[in-house]
Amino acid sequence: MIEPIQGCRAIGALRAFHGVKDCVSILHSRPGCYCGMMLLRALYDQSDMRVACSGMHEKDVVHGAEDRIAKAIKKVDELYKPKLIACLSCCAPTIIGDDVGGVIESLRRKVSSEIVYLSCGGFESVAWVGYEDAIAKLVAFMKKEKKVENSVNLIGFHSDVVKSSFDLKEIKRMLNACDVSVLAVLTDSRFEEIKRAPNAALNVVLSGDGVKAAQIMEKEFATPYIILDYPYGLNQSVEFLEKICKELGKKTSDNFIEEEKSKIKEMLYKIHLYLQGISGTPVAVIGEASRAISLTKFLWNELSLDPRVVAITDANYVCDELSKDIKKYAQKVLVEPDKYEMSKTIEDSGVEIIFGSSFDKKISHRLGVPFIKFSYPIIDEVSLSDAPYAGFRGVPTLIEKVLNTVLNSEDGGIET
Amino acid sequence: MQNRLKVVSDIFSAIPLHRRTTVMGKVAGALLAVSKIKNAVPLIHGPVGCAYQRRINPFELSSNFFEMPMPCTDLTELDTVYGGEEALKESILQTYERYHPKLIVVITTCQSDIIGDDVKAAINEIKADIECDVVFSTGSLFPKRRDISVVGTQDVLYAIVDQLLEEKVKEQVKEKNSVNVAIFSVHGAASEMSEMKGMLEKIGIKINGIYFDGTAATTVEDLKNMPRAELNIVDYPQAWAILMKEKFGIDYIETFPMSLRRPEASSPFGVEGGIKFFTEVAEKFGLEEKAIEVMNEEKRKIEPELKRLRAKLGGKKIAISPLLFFHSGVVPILLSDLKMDARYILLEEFKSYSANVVIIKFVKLYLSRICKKYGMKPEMLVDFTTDEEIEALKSVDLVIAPRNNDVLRYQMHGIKAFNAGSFSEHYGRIGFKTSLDLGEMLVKELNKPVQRSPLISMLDYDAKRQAMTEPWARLEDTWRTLWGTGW
Repeated sequence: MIEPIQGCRAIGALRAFHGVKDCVSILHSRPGCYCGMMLLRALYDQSDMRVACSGMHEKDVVHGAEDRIAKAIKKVDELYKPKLIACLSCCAPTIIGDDVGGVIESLRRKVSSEIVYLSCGGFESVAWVGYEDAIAKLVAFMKKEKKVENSVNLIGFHSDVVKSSFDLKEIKRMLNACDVSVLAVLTDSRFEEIKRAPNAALNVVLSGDGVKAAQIMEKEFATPYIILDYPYGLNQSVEFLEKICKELGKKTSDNFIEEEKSKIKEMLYKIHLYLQGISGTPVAVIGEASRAISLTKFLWNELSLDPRVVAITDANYVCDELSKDIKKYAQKVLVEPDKYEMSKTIEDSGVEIIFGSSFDKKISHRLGVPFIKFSYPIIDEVSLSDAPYAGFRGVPTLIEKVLNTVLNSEDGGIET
Repeated sequence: MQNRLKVVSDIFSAIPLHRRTTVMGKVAGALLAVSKIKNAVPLIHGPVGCAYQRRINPFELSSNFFEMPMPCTDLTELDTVYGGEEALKESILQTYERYHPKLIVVITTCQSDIIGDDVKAAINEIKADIECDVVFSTGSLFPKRRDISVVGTQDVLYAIVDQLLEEKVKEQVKEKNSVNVAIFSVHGAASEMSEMKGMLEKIGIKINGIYFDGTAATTVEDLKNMPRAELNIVDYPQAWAILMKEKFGIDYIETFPMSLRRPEASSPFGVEGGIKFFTEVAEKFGLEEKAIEVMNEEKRKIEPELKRLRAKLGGKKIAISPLLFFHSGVVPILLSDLKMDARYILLEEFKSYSANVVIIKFVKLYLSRICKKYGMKPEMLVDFTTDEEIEALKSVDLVIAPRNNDVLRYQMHGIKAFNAGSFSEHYGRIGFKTSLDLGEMLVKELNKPVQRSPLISMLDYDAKRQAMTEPWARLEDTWRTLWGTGW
């Protein structure tokens, strides 16, 4: 028995495919699977709903629902005219053995969209494995044309995490300042851009998510890859740029980095006493490996906070390696813990600030401590202003968030 | 209703979900039922996604299942082959040891349903090892009926009556003239019960228990006491109430019967609706005379205020959304208690809400008959373009709309509108005073200037579904084609 802290394979795959901006995903499932996953999307961004359900009824579980997925593919192709349709079979059709692959083959010439299929029975794997497999599936559509010098792909970027669009804008700004262009973001790009991804000189795998696709691309197209921390904070941003530039055999823009440092320094004077005051505060961080590890590093190294508990909700193939550093100072690093056990550990650890997702906010309510949402899913907070968490511009945003949350907390905590 | 809760509820009610772009699924419905019972823990018998991806409560997005323990048997590929009964037994034990609940509700999922786990046998094997009750819900326990929806919720309640309330409870001492009030809070109406409770008590009817009222105050012990009552009061047709009648001989009445024969009696809200409700309940106990006495006394108390409101609202021209059929309660108050003048029924709007022809016909007849009862013959606005509709509505004083989305879209055209769906959800309650609350709010609404330039009027909307932007309209089209008609 487990009280799960992450979803099943289908939600991981859906998140990956939804990041392909002109892809529509079809969940071949009973309505409940669709409802839960559609809401996770709808409550985050109401402008971009590209998920459909084949609408399996109870009787289809007996008679099969291949006709339904066929109808769904045709309808989605007609209504959305997407470049890519992603078909994800959930538990029911997977168990009864619907031949979705066969249906897709029979429809390839009848629809204008390309189609990708992934078996996504919830019992097959957890979410992050579904994410890895979905990203890897996209490699099959890629074609190498001509290498573009000083260009990179970003792999493992989640387009549905708070501030993600502003984070991406900032990451691109930083790279552009060093004369490095971004060809494709897996996944936050159009399908055509993803198809041309092998033209990039380097794949940058953000905190290890999507490393499986990077490895396949290295094998298929000889595109090298490096795994870097998500650039939270000043140091990780500098390191991010330096390592990419080094791999590309070019120099970083020292002027740019110095300018950014100087802006941050100026900002720090305004609140430096608060930062001195908050140092040493015990905190807990709950989130996906792709974000939680680098946020912890920022909180420890740059804000001098004390990460007592780090709970990695969704691991990845390299998170053990990436979390080596934080294990040196975090009292407990839990990987994919049971939610109940995790809550108990956090409650017993004496933390005074919790960083997590919407699903974790009640822990802070129980403890009466401030809560800061940074990790997926965030479904009860909107984020519209162009203030990233990542990169140089992310430093003031993160500091602002932490200090304002703490300064506004009352007895019983506050949720922001 | 606290203001914050109301606003949180309203903000989410604008999201077009139920039967428009999705249905919620039995697991979510089952969790909703469990969430209303104190010290009950659900145990999801399936893969992790069936628990994790249900942390959102699609029935009431303003609340959620974040806090509720959500243990799961974590079925794997191997369990699909060898069965998940061992995992279930072990998980029941662990769930008991971890949470010490009074009741564990096992909720099966696609995987455990299809592989055919014998959940009942697994529970029976383990029951003696734990000191709490265990029931299971499959979504298929009760005989299907067209008028019984919210299958997952109904199934858990049915499971409780079927599996928890044992035959021996029959021997319990009956509370004479007592009722169970089980008006599921998802239907609104249950937000405030003191007026109803007070009037029933004056009539001589005791409340044995109030169940599932949204406060999670219903305990397992309360559930076991249900058979002590002589009558169940429910909102819509309920499978569990039918079973209680069969198993324990306890009759039931439905407060929202949706009858074409007596459409004006389809709501227990307000004066007219309240009279129907209290009379019907009193008749079950032979207390009609006392009921008339109590009702007359209560009517006398509110009459001066009602008269003042009628003077301000009587004769005001209104257009009514047929969606209020589902947010029932307000139409009889508007026409009967407040004497407003129904000029239009906005049937075109209902058509765009994926309603099938049978339902459209039913609702048309239902609303026509209510209006006829009060001497009105509103025009059915159907097959109208947006411009034609707006032109027609310029002649009314107020549009009675079902949601904020619609209120805003009328206001963009300079037409005043009132969010009756929100009223029904937050203020609608059984008793006479609902008429006063509604009247006060309508007077205020009529006195306000129209907000002519809300920012959201800048957006492009679907031509037919004017409160929907393009991504949502496509989502609805896809859902409607692939799942079937909405209502």
